[in-house]
Amino acid sequence: MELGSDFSDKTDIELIELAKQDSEYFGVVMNRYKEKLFWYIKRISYFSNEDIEDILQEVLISAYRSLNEFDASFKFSSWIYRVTHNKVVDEIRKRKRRKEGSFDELKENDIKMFLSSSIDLEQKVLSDDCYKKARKVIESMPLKYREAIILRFLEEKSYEEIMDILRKSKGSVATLIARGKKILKRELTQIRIDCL
Amino acid sequence: MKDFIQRGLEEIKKEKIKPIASWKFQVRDFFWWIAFSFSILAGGISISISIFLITELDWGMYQHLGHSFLETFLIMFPHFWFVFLSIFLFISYQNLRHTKKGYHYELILVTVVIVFVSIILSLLFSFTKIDQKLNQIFINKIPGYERIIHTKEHQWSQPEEGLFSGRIIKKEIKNNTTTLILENAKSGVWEIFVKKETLIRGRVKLVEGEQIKIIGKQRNNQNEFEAKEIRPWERRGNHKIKF
Repeated sequence: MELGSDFSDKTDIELIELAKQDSEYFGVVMNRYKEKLFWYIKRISYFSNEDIEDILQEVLISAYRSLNEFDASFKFSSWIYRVTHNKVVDEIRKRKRRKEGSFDELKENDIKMFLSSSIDLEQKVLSDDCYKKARKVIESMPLKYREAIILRFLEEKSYEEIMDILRKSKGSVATLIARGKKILKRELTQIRIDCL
Repeated sequence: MKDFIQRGLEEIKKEKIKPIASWKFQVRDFFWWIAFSFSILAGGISISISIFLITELDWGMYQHLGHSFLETFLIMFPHFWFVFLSIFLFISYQNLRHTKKGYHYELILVTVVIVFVSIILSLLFSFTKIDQKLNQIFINKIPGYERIIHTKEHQWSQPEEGLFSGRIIKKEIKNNTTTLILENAKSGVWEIFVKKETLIRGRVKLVEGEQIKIIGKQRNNQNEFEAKEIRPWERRGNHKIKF
């Protein structure tokens, strides 16, 4: 079986069932999500591309091991995001302990999308200096708030999906998003980003 | 260069990795539900013993001795069981969160439901007097337990505060004064002086073997106590459990 083969007629759940017998089918499902997961990790961790590839490989193996844990009453995408979230959080903890790692910067478009969650940007074109300042503020936000905003506004996940990814109640998800937006707005006002 | 999917699949094949059997996940989920049930049971026990300890005490006595309501409350509140209940509330919420969809429920809703179920269980324990039995088992088996809870025995073993209790082992009548030889579980044998003007409450018979509560005054810092009022040990409707 080739990864490139066309399995567009098969749903994620059907492929998962087949993957329990042949791991190649799991590759087909992961192929559907590889880009999304790549950008999700990038947005929440700023790890380098090479590091993200390594994490994704671990995600694939770990998810394959836990394939029987997946419950078809949930969306597969939420489950695989959850596995990815756990791996990234573990990796961030490890790196914090070792104080090492290479990091990339958040992309300009992501910064703009992030800011749009809290501030009315309309069609404004932001200056380089403005991007720099905003990037600093976003990157310094606690992960739990930043991740909730990323999932909602950059990954465009529904509240139900975010609940399943973060394993939190709807109220907690709403609080994380609201507090995250508040922190962002406050920090931006404090450093007087007049370019907004 | 191979992408992570190819590398991952190769490793799965090389290491002969297989999906973990579903029954292992089912056992794990089952464990969380069992742990959740035990936490609720522990919550029920702590509420029922708290209610038992609170209702056993005579709340009017401390105000009678000049303590404020707040002081009375702080003295008599079952702090130990309150802390125990809070810990198990937290544990049961955490256990529920680990179940498949437990995290969908809001903390406040879960807390209300857990407390409600614990209260229902505590009523059941109270009705079957399991709370009294458990409290007695804890007193007998757990060293130090008795020191951290405020029981009826504590409340009525404070001769310096004018509150005393015990079992009558002998009754003597001399010169219009009745003297009771009383055995108190904490401080041994005492002489209790009952005068004519001593108020003796309805069900008290002053017979050997009877357990009584006494309001009065300690004499000369000795094992002697002057009774102003004598009450039955058990309040109306309370029947002592035998162990």
